[in-house]
Amino acid sequence: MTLTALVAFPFVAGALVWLLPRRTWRRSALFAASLAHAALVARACLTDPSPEWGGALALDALGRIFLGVLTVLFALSALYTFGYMALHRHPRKRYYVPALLFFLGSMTLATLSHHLGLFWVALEATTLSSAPLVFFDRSPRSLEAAWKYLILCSVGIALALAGNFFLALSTPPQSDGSLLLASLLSGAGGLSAPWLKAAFLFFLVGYGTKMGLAPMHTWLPDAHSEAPPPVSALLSGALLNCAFLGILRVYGVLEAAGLGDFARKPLLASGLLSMGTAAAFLVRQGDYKRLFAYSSVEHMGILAVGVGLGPGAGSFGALLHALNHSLAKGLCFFAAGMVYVLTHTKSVEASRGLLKRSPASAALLLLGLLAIAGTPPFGTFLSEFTILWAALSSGHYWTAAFYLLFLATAFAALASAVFTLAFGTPEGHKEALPSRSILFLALPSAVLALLSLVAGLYLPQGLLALLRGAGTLGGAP
Amino acid sequence: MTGAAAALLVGVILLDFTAVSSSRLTVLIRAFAVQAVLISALALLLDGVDSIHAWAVAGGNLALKGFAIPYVMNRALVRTGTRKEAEPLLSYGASMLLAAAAAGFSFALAARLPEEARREGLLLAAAAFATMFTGLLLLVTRSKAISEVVGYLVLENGIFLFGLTLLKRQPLIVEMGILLDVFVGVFVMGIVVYNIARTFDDVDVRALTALRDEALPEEEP
Repeated sequence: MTLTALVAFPFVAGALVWLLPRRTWRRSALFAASLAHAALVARACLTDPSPEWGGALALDALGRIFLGVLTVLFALSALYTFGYMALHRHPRKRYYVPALLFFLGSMTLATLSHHLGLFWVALEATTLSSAPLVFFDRSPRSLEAAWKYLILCSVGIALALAGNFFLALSTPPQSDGSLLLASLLSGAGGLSAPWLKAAFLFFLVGYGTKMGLAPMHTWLPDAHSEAPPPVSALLSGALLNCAFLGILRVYGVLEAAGLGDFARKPLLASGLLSMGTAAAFLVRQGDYKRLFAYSSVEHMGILAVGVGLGPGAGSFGALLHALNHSLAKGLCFFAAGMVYVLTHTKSVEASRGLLKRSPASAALLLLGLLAIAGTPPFGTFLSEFTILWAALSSGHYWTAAFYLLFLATAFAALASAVFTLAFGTPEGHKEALPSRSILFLALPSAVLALLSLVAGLYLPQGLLALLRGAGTLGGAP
Repeated sequence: MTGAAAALLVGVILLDFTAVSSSRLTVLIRAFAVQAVLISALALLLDGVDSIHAWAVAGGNLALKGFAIPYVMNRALVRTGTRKEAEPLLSYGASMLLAAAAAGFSFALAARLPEEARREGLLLAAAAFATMFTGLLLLVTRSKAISEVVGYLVLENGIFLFGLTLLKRQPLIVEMGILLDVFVGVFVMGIVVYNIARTFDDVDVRALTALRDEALPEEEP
């Protein structure tokens, strides 16, 4: 019952919150629900629940990592929502909190699904529940972003459905053709190789669209930059992980079937392509939210490269990086939201001189930059270095060279933009943020800054064991 | 494969041609709806009329894709005042030719598939591929937001058709989840389309060009 309750809780809470008549009540309920979700996740992780629904819902090492990141980031976003919504002019729409909770529920389902068909249903549900959130500002720009997001991701995920069917076709005719992860992994030897390969390519394109891998990433900068900051943080920090998880699950099946080599090549290629594309668009990017959005494309590329280097150090680095990226990117979007409520523009040039106007937001933004660009001692440095080391030690020298080149380009582009934002003379009138709201905005950002710093300095033994267990992929309990 | 199933599959392919060659959006939506009805009937024929599972899938597909979604789409047409696809990026003649070529290619592709995929005969796989290609063609060449939604739906019809023979081996909750996702998806898309029409006075997606990287965005203070 533990896992079923964990999945059902956000949906039930979302439906109930809809009935609350006041905005402030709904937002308080959102925060309460996020804490309750975190408690349920903690209980599930500690009690080691047995699989439910015939094995369709289960909690493994991979699930624990992504679920943990999700619940922490969601609680902080709920807190941030208080401060942001009080300051930012926005339409009075009732659906915000219920849609966020449905979004949480579908992501929770995605992390727990051990049936690939059920996972597909969950991932499509994440698109549907988050599209109204992208559209929340009701401006023509957010409308355009929501439209691209909906149609591109729906088409992408439809292709992943075809991948599911190919995977079912790859099972021997006399078997039951189940898409349960456990039976796919245990019967991996008997799967038909051509169908399995076709299935993987469809999954890579389908879930890769949702994960923002180039060249299917075109919706991502729009959706992530037009959504309200707490939603952007979740889209980048939690949702991309869920899509990545889908690719990892299928990759695990291929690895178990002895086709890992076939799967790694397209992963490496799309990873490097994403990093290169993102680096090109990061240079001279004039919009700071798009800057962080393109940086997500870059980091998803890093994850694909990490997994493409094979189980062991590469996958371990990729998982660690997924964790670090979520923390750092959450911080970046939170800090970007603080800048936006201050300057009412997303233009880097027009928001310059932040240190003079609001030292707190400038400091957080600088920390966010350092974290996301992979500067030591932040966690991202550790994981990016792990992946580099995996590339060098496995003889992928060209991969390592391009990887370093793209990382350096992205670093330079991010640094130049953030230094413009932080230093210089501010433009226009100077207003300060009310200190009460500052607390709600700065507190969650500071927590994330602290967490990404700690992740670079000290990783608890339990977490390391979890990452190593998950890094072996296929066959992990 | 029975003669009835073959006739239904030929019907599915003919409806693909109807969809790409018509300039009237009501015809496009109707082609999709009739296709969904045919696929529901196929689900019963292939899975056997004595299975509750098959009835649930066929009934769900019929109710949502045969009636509910076309209703939502037609309402969107009325509310946005759209009648015709103004100027597709590719002329109707050329689209028709491409669709025919895609159908031929689908047969060639289906004939090359390994044995497992032809459990239910070559025609089913060919019709599924042809429908998927048609959906992609509509998505790429049409400029009205509503036509793109129908393109997505036709693509989904093709994939669903391909999965028909496999679906019965999956838990019912997954199939129902797929149907529900598609329905809610179209519902949300309908809302966005309506808002596009209200904001831009048209549902032409070529109006959606504000989000780019070259120019600095103009922001209201």
